[in-house]
Parts: sequence; C-alpha cells; structure tokens
Amino acid sequence: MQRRASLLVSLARAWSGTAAASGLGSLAALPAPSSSSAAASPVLAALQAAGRRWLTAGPVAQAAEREFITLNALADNPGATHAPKRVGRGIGSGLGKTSGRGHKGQKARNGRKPRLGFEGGQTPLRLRVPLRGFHNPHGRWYRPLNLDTLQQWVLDGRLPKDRVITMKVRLWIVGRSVVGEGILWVLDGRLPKDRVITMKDLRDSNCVGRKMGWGVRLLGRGAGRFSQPVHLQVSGVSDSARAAIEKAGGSVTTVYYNQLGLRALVKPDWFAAKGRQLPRPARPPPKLEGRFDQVGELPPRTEITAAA
Amino acid sequence: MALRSLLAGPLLKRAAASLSQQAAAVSSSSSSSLAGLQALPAAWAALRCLGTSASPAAAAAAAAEAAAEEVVDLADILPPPIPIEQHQEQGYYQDLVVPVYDLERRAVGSYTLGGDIFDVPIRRDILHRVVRWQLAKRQQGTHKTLGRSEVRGGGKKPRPQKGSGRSRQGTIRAPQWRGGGVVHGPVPRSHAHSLPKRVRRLGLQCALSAKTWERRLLIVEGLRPAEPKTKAALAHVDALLADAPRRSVLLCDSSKTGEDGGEPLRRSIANLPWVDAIPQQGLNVYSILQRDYLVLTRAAADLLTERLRRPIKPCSETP
Repeated sequence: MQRRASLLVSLARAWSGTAAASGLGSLAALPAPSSSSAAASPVLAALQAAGRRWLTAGPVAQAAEREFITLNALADNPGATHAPKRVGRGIGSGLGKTSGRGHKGQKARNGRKPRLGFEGGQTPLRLRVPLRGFHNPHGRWYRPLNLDTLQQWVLDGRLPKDRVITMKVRLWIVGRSVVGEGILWVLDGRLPKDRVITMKDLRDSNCVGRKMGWGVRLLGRGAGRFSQPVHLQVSGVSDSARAAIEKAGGSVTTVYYNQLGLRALVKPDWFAAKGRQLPRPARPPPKLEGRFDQVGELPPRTEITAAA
Repeated sequence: MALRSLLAGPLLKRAAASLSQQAAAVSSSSSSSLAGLQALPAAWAALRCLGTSASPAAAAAAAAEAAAEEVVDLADILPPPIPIEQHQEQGYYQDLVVPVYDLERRAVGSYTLGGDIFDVPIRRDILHRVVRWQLAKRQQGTHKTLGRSEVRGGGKKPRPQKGSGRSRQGTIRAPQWRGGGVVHGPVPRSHAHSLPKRVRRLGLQCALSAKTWERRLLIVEGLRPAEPKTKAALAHVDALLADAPRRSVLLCDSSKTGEDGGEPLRRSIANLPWVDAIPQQGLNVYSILQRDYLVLTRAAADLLTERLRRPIKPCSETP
C-alpha cells in the first residue's frame, strides 16, 4: 500500500488580515504529496499548497492604467451592506401603516409574543395527537460505521490522528512574506500496521462522531470495494463487514465496553485530569454473554495477536 | 534552545517568506522553477529544528534533528528587493528599493520598503471601511431636537374635548402641530463603531501600498527645514514635489519632537495650505488619502515598519 502522509496544516490566521484577503485563511487538511516526492518535507508540500491557494486567490491584477486611490474612489464590496428596513414610513415602502405586523392583536403590539405552540388556549397540536411508540430504557444503540467510510479514512491517512506531531514550526505567512509568528502543525497520520485500531482512534480521527452510544458497529456498505488490511477492535460487526475485512487480510475483534468503560477508552485524559484511575473492565451482562469476542480492556491492548 | 532563539528572529521570517514565495512560483509556472525547490531543503532543515526542540520525536523527527544543525544564511534564499522602477506587479509583497532624498531632492541614499507593508494588495473596500470608521469616530454627534415633552408649553388642553365641532386635541405641542415636538428626532450620541485592529492595520498597509504603487511616496533623510520659516519650508516642498501637478502633501516625521522634523517643521508649514505634518504614530488612512503625496522620513519609515510588524496579539500555543 502506498503510504501517504496526511497533513493537518492550520496556519494561525495572519495577524493583519491580509491572508484572509488572499485566501490563506482556511488551510486545513491539505492534500498529501504524491509518492514521487515522498522524500520532500511534508511542510514544504504544505507550503506549496498554501502558495497555490494564495496564488489562485491572487493579488490584484495590474491595471492597464494606474488608477490613483483617492477618497472619492473608495467603495465597499458590492453586497457588503444591507439597507435597513424602514417601517411605518408610508404606503410606497410596502411597510407603511401596520409596519408589516398585520392588524390589531397580541402580535401587533410591542412586548412579548405568545409562546411557541400556544394556540390561544385551544388544546395545542402536540397535546391533541395521541402518544405513539415507546422508549426502551434497555435498548443499546451502536454507532454505525460503514466500510466505505472506513476505507476513505484509511486512504486519506486520517486514521489515526494521535500520531506524533513531527513538526511544529513558528511562522506566519502573509502572502509571500512571513511577517510574524504562527504555528504549523504537521501530523503524521499514517496508518499503523503494527497495532490494532481501537474505537478511540476512530473517534479521535472523527471517523465516527461524538455520539457513540454503546460503541461502534461496523456495517457492510462498500464491502465489495474494501481492500485495506486493517485490524480493528469494535463493539459489533455485521457478517458482511467481517467477511470483507478478513478477505482483505485484516481482522475484527468485537469487544464489550459498558458506557463508563467506553468513556475511559475514548477519553482517558479526562480520568487522568481528575486524578482518577481508569475503571476496571466490565463483563457483559448475562443477556449479552457470548455476543462479544472479548471484554474490552482498559487501556486497550493494541498489539496484533495471532488469534486476531 | 540556543538554536531556537537564534532562528526565531527575522532570519526565520525571511526563510519562510522565500519558501512560500518559491512554492507559489512553482505552482504558477509548473515547468520552470524546479531548481528553486532544490535549494529549499537547507532552509527546511533550519525550520525543522524548531519543531523537534519542542515536541517528542518519532524516527522522522530524529532525522530532522540531525539536519537541524545546519545553519544557513537565509538572506541568500530570499528574493532580492527590486528597485521601485521595476515594480510592475502590485500586491506580491515584494521588497522595494527606493531612493532617499534630501530636502533639495538630491538622492543621498536608498531605502528598502518591506513588501509586507508597502506592497500588499490594495483593497478599496478595506480602505473604505477604515475611512468610514475614522470619520464616524470623529463625528461630534451633538445634534438634538425637542420632543413633544421638551418643547416649552403645551400643558393646557387647547379646546374642550366635545362640542367645538373640531378635532380632539390635548396639547399644542403634539407632533402634528406647528411648533410641536419632533418624533424620533436626533439625540446626542456617539457615531463611533468598532473595526477590528487587523482591519485597521490592513487599511494602513493598503494606503501605504497605494501611495507606493502610484509612485507618490517619497523617503527623505529628514524634514527639518534649514530655518524655521515658511519660505524655507515652501522651497523644500516645491523641490521635493518638483514634478508633481499639485502640491498636496502629507509630511510624516518620527515624532512631534523628533530630530527629523519636530516643532520647527510644524511651525514652518503651519501657514501652507495643502501641506500637513503628522508624526509616525499618528499616520492614518484618511490623512494619507487626503493628500496626493506622502513623504516619510527614514526614521519614521523604520518606526512605522517596526510598529506594523508587531503582532497584535501574541500567538497562542495551539492553532
């Protein structure tokens, strides 16, 4: 597999605002350098891309005739300002007599309006319709993660994100001049082949969102095109997803975490900051016994075992 | 750490400047300037050392650390400043060399204008915003009309409610009456609004860049007239603006008490219309655009450059 270095470049915003003017403001997740220039520094590639962005945004083209900037030649950009609404200023304005508020009543007066959903004392809609369905307090929701998303993350080198920051330089670019200090972060996002990807990696790389429920469950969308030999520890996996991953040379282990354990997995720093120990791993309840390959460890054991 | 401090100054700035510039050049003419890229790794080595000194290093970073020992003269990598006559493209942050004149307009030296201040893209919208901000800020706001409660009189009901055959009226100072109060009239208030410091600074850079691009910026050694007389000052201004169609000029010295202008300058030009003097610290977009020409003393230009390059806020550790 080609190893692609992914860069997360966040140039601090240029302090004079010029960068924003020239399109340098938002630099994030720049494309990785091609494999031919793998020897070149990723920072160089980042700056190359930065330069390209900047150039396309472009400084002003040279006018054929030099136009002097004078006080009477200044203007804001078209559309930069709105004219205010002038209510109650005559029929011609369209907002004359009633100022756009209709005729008489609570909503035409100053002060408070009736609350949202209030229908003047009549039983409102949300109370008129009968309750439907029920809330299962014992239901366990797993965050779905499809194989096409996973593959995209692997190919983009976004997994995992907690690798060492290999470079942290201070520079601040305004166009082609560096006029101050900023910070350039370069993260080595290469996929580790020597360890298992846990749900923490998935979360840290934003492969799955903040709402994780009882864990991550791999699903099989994109199974036909899945080609990455990855080793994963997740809460659940569908049969098609497992088959596709094993066919690609990887492995999946299903691990059980209760919600406290999942939090300890995803945010161990929180426990450290509070001066707390990581909780002991919980066994699955009897009802779920046999549904998981193993009890999730804290901190997770990430070496690849032969069994995995 | 020593290396870090060594490089943290202007050297690093200039190195990175050249890098991004070359990168831009590469992307613009993708065929030609590969040679420029070849020259870069040395500079990168210098940059890298900063990173490795701060962060825990992986194997790649260790290699960078080894390369970091190399200290290069970064001035060699920078694109050299060009003379102002060759300045054909505006807004490329190009350092410019301009002549320095004396008060008889004899060239007595040269001065390098920093491209990040004197060659930024001229943005009329930013200039417009800054000028509006300045004018709004200085507006006195002492405007006032009397409302119906403030107009004198009107306490008595002008006629009975009923029986007169005319309309109901409660006061002779109601807005529909002649001599009545004004509805929603102007009241004393401040018209000032805020403008981000970065925008204000960009505006000043744009104004300076505009004057540079128009070739209406002059750098002089000093502005103190030979003797504190209007006649002398007029002669100097005439000499400096010999080729100008108008004699409208803003003179900028380092301070109100500076050796390069100061009180004698201000006294001698006080009676000259179209000529203003301003200390460097007070230089502003409106005053610059008000006048056709801008004359900076060398000291004022130095101070101005230093001031405009100072970060507005120290940058945070994390982006």
